[in-house]
Amino acid sequence: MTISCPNNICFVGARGIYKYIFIIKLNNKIREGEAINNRFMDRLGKWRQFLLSPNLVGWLMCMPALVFGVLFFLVPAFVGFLISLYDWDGVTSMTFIGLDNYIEVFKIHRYWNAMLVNWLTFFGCLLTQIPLALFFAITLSKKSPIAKVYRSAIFAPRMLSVAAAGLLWSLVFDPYEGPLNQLLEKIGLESLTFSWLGEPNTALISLLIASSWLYFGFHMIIFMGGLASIPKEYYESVQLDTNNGLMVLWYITIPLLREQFLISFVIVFSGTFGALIGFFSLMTGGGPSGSTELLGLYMVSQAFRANRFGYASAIGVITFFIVFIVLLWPVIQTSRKRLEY
Amino acid sequence: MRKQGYQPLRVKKYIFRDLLFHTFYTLVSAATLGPIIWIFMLSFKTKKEFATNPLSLPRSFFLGNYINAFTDSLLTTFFMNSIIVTSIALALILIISTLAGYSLARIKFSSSRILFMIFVMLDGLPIYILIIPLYVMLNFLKLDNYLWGLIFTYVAMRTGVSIIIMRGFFRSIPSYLEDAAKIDGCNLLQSLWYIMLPIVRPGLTVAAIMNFIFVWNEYYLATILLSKMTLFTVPPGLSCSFMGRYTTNWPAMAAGFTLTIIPTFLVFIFLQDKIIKGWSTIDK
Repeated sequence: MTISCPNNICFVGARGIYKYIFIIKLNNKIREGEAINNRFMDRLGKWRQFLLSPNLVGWLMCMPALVFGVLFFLVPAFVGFLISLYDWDGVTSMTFIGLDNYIEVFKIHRYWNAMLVNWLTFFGCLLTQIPLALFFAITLSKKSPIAKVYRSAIFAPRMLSVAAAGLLWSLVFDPYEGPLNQLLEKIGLESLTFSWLGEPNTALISLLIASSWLYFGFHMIIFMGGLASIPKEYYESVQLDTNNGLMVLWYITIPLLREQFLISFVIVFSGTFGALIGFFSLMTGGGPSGSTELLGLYMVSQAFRANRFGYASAIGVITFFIVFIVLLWPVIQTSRKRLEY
Repeated sequence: MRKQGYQPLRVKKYIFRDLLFHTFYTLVSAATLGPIIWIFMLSFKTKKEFATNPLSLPRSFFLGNYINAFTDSLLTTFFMNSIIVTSIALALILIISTLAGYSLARIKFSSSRILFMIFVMLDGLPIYILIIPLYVMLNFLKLDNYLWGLIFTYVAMRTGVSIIIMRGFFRSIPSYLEDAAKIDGCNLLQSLWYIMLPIVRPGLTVAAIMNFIFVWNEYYLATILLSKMTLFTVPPGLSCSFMGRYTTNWPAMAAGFTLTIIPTFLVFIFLQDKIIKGWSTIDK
């Protein structure tokens, strides 16, 4: 915007010149103002650009989820680390003892026993559930209605809560009133009747059977989803080469189910450090002489029974690191690109 | 004489193989469903009948166990608590995971890959390891006398997997729908609300069902993080009111068991396909 000299103003004489100069100055001022204004608008545009930039919008939309993640994973992990540096019974004041809790953890036999039980449970679950699930998924991947019925019968137990399943199986394994022993007596195998959950030798195996019953249908569904996503052409083209079902399974099906294997691995792994704690605590509570004591159970019993919160937190921190390190590889793998032939 | 006209190829019928298949799978189904059906039958037996013949069908239709289950325990309170926890947690999880899933699937920004990895990690990490610091924190914040602490913990636990599901569903929508909305003058939230959400409604139902099953069934966190019995949700309530240290009234327990599994089994019967879809599409 500029102001041009209007015709009706007289520019003759001294006052006229001043008026002229005034108008020039005014124009300059206006130009400056416009420049400032433009600069301001530019900045606003940048601000606007920043507001609508994909980076900010993306982060903002992830923010609520991240906040929950930080508040309930990162902060507790940090708090747990802090507590683990203290000797604390949960009520009275804390005394700082440095890394003594960690040193004590590694010296105690019960901890290593819990660690062993935990890994045994993990490998037991992995070796029972995943082959079973794969077998059932391959044989039940048909479109007949009866296969659908079998499928839903197999994964129905997963609908139970851990509490309900725990009650059910502690009744089944009950030495006096449980149906398992009564069934054995009826058949005439009275010598085999056993206090299944009361003996250190059988407790873990009984629990593994029960947890496989609860979970393998879930893995079956995951594998069925993976099988459905394999294109039919692969199988058609392999028909030209071989008719051997096992070879097809080994060279086509299993490599293409890599992602499902990873997911199942993660679920089983985090299950033994997580959801199975509830199941085991209900049925045996750590079991006869620690034979079914998972790390989580040991940790919780140290905290709430022995009132040693610092020591329990030290176990928690170590377990957290183990789980984190083991999970890193599958997590990176699952967020990579899909495998294709 | 030879037959004329169309003759179908003779299909070899594997009668023996089919028979083997069906008997095998009937046995497997009996093994998986059998205990549940047996405990359902047990709930109609008296204590005496259970002691004499536990394995047979119930002789009479005895409802005393169900009445006992309601009168002897706080079952109605447990159900109310569970309903409150489940509904609030579900609403929060769905809102949060829709926003994050949309952002990770649709908005192209540099750190989306790392963010996704963080969420996959959060899904994998069991929160049970952090149960002691969580307990201490909730005690410190005086949240252990309310259901809020548990609700927020569930939300934190389940956002990871819900984000993975929602991201998958958002990615399956063609991008030109959104471009058209942009040309018509929608901003981002408008296009999310008016265009994308109606299309990903199946994804939302899948996520809702899966989270419903999880939250309704969660047991161990609820026992530790809730301080009073009047705050318990259904699973810890079930275990604490029907399982005695030395003697357990098994038929009453069976009645409680049957009552508490009704909601999830209703979902299972009517929305089975959605559950399967949810479980089988936990991929990228």
